[in-house]
Amino acid sequence: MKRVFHFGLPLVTSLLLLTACEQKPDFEYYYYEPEDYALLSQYLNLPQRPDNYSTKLPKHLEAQGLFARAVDQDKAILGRVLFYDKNLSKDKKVSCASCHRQEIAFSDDKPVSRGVFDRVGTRNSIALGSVLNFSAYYGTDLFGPSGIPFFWDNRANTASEQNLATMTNPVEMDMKHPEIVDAVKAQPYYAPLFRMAYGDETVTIQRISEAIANFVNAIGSYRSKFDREAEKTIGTEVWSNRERLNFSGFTPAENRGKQIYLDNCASCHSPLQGRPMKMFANNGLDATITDKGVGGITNQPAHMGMFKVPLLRNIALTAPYMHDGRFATLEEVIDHYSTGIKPHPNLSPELRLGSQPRRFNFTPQEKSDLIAFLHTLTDEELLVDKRFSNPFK
Amino acid sequence: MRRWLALSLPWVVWCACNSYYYAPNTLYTPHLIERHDAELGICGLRGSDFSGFEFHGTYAFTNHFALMANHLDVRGRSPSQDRRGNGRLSEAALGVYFPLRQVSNTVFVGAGTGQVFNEFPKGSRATLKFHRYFGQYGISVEQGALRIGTGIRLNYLHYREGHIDYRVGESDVSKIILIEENSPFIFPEFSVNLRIGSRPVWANLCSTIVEHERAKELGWATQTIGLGLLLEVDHFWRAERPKK
Repeated sequence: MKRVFHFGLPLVTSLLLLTACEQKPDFEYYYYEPEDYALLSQYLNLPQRPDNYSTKLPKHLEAQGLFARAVDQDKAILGRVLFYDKNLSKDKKVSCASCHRQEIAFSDDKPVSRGVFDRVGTRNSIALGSVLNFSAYYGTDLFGPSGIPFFWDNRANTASEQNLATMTNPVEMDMKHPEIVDAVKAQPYYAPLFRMAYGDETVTIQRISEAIANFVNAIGSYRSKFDREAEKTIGTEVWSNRERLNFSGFTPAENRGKQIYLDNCASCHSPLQGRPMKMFANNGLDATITDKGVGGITNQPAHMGMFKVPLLRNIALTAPYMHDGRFATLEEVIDHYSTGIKPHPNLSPELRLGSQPRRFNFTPQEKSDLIAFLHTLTDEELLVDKRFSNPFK
Repeated sequence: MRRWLALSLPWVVWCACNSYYYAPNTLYTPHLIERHDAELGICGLRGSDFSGFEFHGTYAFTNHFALMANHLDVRGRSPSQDRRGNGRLSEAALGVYFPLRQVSNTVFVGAGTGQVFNEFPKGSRATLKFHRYFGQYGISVEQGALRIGTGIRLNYLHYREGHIDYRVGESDVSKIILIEENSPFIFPEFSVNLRIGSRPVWANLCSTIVEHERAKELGWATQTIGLGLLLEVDHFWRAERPKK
């Protein structure tokens, strides 16, 4: 027995000493190969740890059956660079981000966007930050016929179609498909990014549009003051009309504005800013239309003068308003609905009384309260979210 | 009670698509009675989503001291074939044994080194290397053609090195970061084994479970079961074990 202790004790002691000598874990995380990262770092500010583009929507939106779909992380990273790359335009001065500026919720502050060589477009740039999350309900590739199409006139069914149409539009980026491919091939930073996204460096127009689509599908706004308050109502009341409760974190003006919104606007723009209630509508901007809108694509008289119904997320940041940017302020927009709706055969039923345009006749107090509420839809985090920021140095 | 129930139940759970960063080898409880007793075992091993084999060997070089060596090698692949992984662990230990009629009590302390490797879609990989120190107590009882053993092992598991491609995905990166932040881990494992046969060959069925409250978060396999053969090799140089 003595021998057991003679041998055993030193052994146990040595083992304890060995454990004490263990160094801290030396874990190396990597995404890019070192030489690739060195190359990329000459042009781009990309984190060594790749950004996570998965999205978890707040509970009040998931309760409505809205979920963000998974996007391919590697393709979204490539898509982010493509989205901000001015080399993809004819004069190398315009990128997707030129008309979708992050600091104003990926919108443009001009009534109608300016493209290459300062060419003037015909419509206002849609705020990408007005959408809850593109992958939650946009695109027929993800959702079939119920997927919301892209553009004011809903002419693109998928995010890929949308970005290709923009890059080839003569008043936007004015590129041909082979020119886009060549422009991408010419930039040294794309080889490693394509390798990460696709396993090889082959550049095709399909890959380019798919990568941008993955990036765009990850964009969305769901962290506004309104969302934080709406999420608190989960589990506190009956399922329906939760949004009608006064939110404890809202000011009285914001709560009054919310009621006005729910009573007058939500039947088109969605009570919880989840998914628009209508794909498109005529909101009485003109008695005689100058832009056919959806009707110009479908050639159906019943669609003439109708345009996409957007959500109102970040609306306070995305002036000017309407498809042609005719209203410079939210006050002007509310004045339009208050007393300015024009008659039109296709006027949305919600905006008419019999055959006449409806007059909401908002009082000054109501207008002020409604604007206070609309400011609660601003998602400050989206505006500074590094995952969606310009990666170029 | 639940622990012992888990140990005694056959392994029927088959999960899908998990990647593991630790899997327990069999807690081997040799039946040592006297000097020059020597056992060699080979065992097929199965856990959730992986399978493999292991070797065990013990040799009693004095009347109370013995050496033990273990080697584990496991592999796994997801049903869709897009993920695969493997793990290895080799270790050596020095111990003492106290025979009492047909009961063998053993205590071993040892050290080993191992690695786990997981490969994901697009060729992304995560490799973790670790050291494991352990102390174990086992008891084995022989009755006719039956040997029943049980044991407890206290582990000191230290992940010393890792190479992780971020493309393995958020879920696995989170597990690995948790491992890095919390290493080393001290935790027990429990086992039972059942041997049927007669000297020198025994069929061996054993089950080992890991007892750690965060095992799932850490991506650890919490149970393995093994089925194999055990050979008392001293039989070949010693025709009959003298009765004590």
